[in-house]
Amino acid sequence: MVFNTGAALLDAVVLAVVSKENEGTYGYKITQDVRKAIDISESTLYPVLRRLQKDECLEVYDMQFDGRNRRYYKLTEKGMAQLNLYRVEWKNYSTKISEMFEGGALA
Amino acid sequence: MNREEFMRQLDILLISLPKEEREAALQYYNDYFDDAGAEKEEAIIAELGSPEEIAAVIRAGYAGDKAEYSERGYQDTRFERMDVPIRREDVRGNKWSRILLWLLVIVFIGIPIILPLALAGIAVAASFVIATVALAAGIFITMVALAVTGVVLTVVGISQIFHMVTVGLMLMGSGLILTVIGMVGTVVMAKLAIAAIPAMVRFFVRICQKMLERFREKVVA
Repeated sequence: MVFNTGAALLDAVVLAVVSKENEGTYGYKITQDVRKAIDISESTLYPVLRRLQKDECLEVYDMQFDGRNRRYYKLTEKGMAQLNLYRVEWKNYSTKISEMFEGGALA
Repeated sequence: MNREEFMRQLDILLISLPKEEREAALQYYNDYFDDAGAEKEEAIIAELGSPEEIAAVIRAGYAGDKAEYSERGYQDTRFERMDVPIRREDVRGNKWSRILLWLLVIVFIGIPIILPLALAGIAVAASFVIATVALAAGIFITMVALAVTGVVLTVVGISQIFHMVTVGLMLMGSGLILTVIGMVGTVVMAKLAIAAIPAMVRFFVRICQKMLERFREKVVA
């Protein structure tokens, strides 16, 4: 990937991925989903998830799966608000960049 | 290294963290191995790297320092430049430094051109001065010589007047004329020198002052 992903964008992508699952999702699946867009290493995500959890953007709960406890991550209301903020910011940013690249009207 | 070893080492390496933090991290990586499946165990361990690295990242994340893991790996955001708008002072500073840079460039490019030119100018001026002085000195010496010759001729004429009156008188006459011309010329040249030398010195001083002034004006402007 030519363009590097900053911490804020990584946060936004993680929040977006988690928000897709109403019942919450788990670490391995989040990693695989994020990797569809960004090439992150497997060790990258845990500190991000942990921080988002501490910032109360994500909440965790444990659920039985396949005879073991699996930890699930779910978006909180604050996380949802944060994600919406990121969405607006990203739309502004990406639109400007796209206009520049594609030769649209520059105001 | 297999999964059990990996997890055991990670557990030991996170011993400095509170129990809750340690368990959360261990739970995450246990889940990760479980969800990936046994067949991917080796690949995951290879990609995760050493337990020391993972532990360092988890500890840094817990400490809440500004370091974070993004796609590019571990980095300390304190050393990243934020998109702060450039302040006026910076712009002005840039302008001044640009002017300074230009001055330096001009001076450095100019030195090979200006220096020989200046030397040539000085040499030409000096040659003019020397030629003038030499000419004046030549005329002065000629005048002195004329006066001396005149005196000698007059003396010779006086000594000859008893042998050959006409020759003696002629020699005496021309000698006296030459003496007068030589003396007048000597006096005129001496007076000229007395008047010209201070004037020339003053002229040079003025040129130097003007050059200095112009240089100062340029620096100030």
